[in-house]
Amino acid sequence: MTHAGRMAVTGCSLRTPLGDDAATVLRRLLAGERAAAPNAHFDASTYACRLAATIPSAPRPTKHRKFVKRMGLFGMEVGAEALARSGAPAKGARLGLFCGYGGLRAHWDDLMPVLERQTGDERATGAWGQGFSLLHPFWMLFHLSNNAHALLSIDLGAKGDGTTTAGSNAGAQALQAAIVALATDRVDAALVFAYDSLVEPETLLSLGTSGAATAAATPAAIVAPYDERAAGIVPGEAAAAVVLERPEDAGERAISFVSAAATADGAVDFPSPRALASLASALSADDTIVDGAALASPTRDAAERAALAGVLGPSATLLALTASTGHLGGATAVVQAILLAEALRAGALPPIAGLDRPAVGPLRPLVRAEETRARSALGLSAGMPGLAGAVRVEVP
Amino acid sequence: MKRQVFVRGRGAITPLGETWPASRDALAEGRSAVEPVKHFDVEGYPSQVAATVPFALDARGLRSDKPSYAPKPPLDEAEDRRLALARRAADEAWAEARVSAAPSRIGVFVGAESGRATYGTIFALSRAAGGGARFDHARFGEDARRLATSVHAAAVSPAAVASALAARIGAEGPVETISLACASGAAAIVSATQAIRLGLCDVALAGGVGADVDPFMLVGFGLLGALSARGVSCPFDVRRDGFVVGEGAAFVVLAADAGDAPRAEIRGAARTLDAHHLTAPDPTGDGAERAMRGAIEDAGHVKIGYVQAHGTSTQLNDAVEAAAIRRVLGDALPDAHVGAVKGAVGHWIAGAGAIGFLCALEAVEEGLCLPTAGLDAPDPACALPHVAGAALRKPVEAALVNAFAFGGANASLVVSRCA
Repeated sequence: MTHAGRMAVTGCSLRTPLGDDAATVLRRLLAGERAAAPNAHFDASTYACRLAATIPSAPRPTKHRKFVKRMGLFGMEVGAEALARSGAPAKGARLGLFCGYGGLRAHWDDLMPVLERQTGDERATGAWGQGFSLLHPFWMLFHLSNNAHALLSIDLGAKGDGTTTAGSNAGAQALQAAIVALATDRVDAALVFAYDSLVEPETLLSLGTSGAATAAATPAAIVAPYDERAAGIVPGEAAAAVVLERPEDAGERAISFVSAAATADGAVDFPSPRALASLASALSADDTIVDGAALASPTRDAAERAALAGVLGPSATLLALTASTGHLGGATAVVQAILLAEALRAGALPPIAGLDRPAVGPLRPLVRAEETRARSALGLSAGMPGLAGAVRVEVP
Repeated sequence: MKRQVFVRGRGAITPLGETWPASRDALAEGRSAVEPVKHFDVEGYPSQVAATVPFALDARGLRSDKPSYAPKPPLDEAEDRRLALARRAADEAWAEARVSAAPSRIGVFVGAESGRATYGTIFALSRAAGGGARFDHARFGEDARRLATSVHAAAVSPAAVASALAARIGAEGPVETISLACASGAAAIVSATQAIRLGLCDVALAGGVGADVDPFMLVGFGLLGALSARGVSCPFDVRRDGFVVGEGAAFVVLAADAGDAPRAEIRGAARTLDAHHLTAPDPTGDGAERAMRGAIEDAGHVKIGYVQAHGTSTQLNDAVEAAAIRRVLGDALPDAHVGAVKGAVGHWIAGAGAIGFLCALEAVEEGLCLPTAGLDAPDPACALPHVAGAALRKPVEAALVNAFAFGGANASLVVSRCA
């Protein structure tokens, strides 16, 4: 596995459960805060997974609400903000736009009234007269996978190369696609935005029932990833965006540098540690800090640590930003690109929030915040089915 | 100097055939698979036809025999039609390619949309949520647990197809899922081409799959006014009034190594964005034209003898595309021919660009230009040297492939015959 190169980040923006600017989020990460709380979106008291890490704010009012749901709107917001902050001169056909999103959700508010009077037989007999005819003509547009991508391209006049990549490692895929576009000189700047929420009824149902997500009743009862008693992730949500440019074009505007890679191994659930290690191997250049996939399962965590030790050495420092933010699905890699750079610039590494009893094994799970002089770090992400992503971050 | 990208294998399962050769032969006869939907009740729907794959499918697509770190969900893979279709087409392409490379040098690039739980599953979930007009979370949290596997990521994630195919062919290189609506399949082939050129991989499985002949999609596209009320797919015809949903999968195997007897290579690839409208194409055709010109410029000196048009059979899209093709080919237009496949197999959405690519490949490899089924009365606004009625045989040095999507995403490719 190889990667497409290293590009400069010249602008960024994000929405996370811990805040809407990187400095604030880093401060809370360093304090060991956790965003997990009783689900703020709906009453999940009967779900197998009752806790979640949600973005406390709402998207700004916009005409796009007719076509795009909440997380897509967040994605569009951070995309526009990142581009405005970047100072990138590229416009029109030289400006690329790359989106990563987790996948479509059912939008039950629209569907329940439509299904209420239906009989539900295999052939959907009479479904039109019993409800489908009530759907809004624009209902389909909420289910257009590239709706946020399309509308943001219009808002920004981005007419160059662009894709919407998808899945729980979509952020890493989008970063990689953007880097390829820059490396092949198809665009002069590439705006990458990613968004995802695991705090949806079906997702919580699946993650909770399978045991992948925490069954803790209270935030205090959550056990951190890499703890010997770890017992599941906290579903979270985020939107994040970065503007990438070739280093020689970015010059002094470069605030960090990234490379990225994504793969998949066909596993029904999380990818094998080997897949994560292969990405780390492809991107790493003697890095000693890694933000792990942090799946919060003693067996998985141990296997991940063993595999990464083979690439980074047994004493590499292990972080778990998602112990604080919750698992961010397809947004993870772009969030990592922003927050790891913020931490490296500040010279401070955040602890794994709530880590009391680190499991024995290679790598050094960080229990307390500590200073660092390192200028680079790796971020890994893992999602179902068998999806792995990685980003390497470097600061000037 | 760019690395060359050779086409080593191809495969498809379509409403007209279980393999690419079978499909090609049916397409060459000008046949259409569009017919009234029979497997669910479409009474009242704005459009009541589709092109459905009629062949039996073994749907198991995801690996489940590797060590696991948690109990595996008893996944009902039989419900995911995307995987079933994609696996058949990918297997065919992979078998034909006979390529060898280290696993880390093999990539997978797939155009696919999110998997949709079946109508029955969605209905059952709604009942678990109380069955009323509002979603009852308290009931859902308890009653829906028995349905959890039906909404597992392996069934609904857009990336499930690419992940499954990567495992199937032993790919451990870059794996990418593109959900770019109707341009997904072609955009995935563009990504694969770039990945090989850049050296990210040496071999790539690339293509797309569409499996959207279900009640929700027919209703959604129908209410939007995108589907043919007449129930006919006839790209560029004066009577066209919308597209017809189809399903199928098409894949190619690309490689930096030409193999023993190279027949075709991808010479040009480009993607653009209209930045114009969520559903309508830019009436000036600017984005489409830039995609085509970008691919041709990328290809260098080639003579385009055939154009595989996107050809949705919608009023505006076909007229805009036809005008853009005329501008791009200019004086070379009379020497070229134009075909579109959606009249025969419907619109596969995420898979559309991939089956179009196979049609173009046929033109350059075999000199077989497939006809546009349903095109009986060409619209003067879509004046082009169409291939209509029956297939046309002629030597084609290079072919241009278009795929244009809702949201204004455009992808074009140039594939040429190897000397």
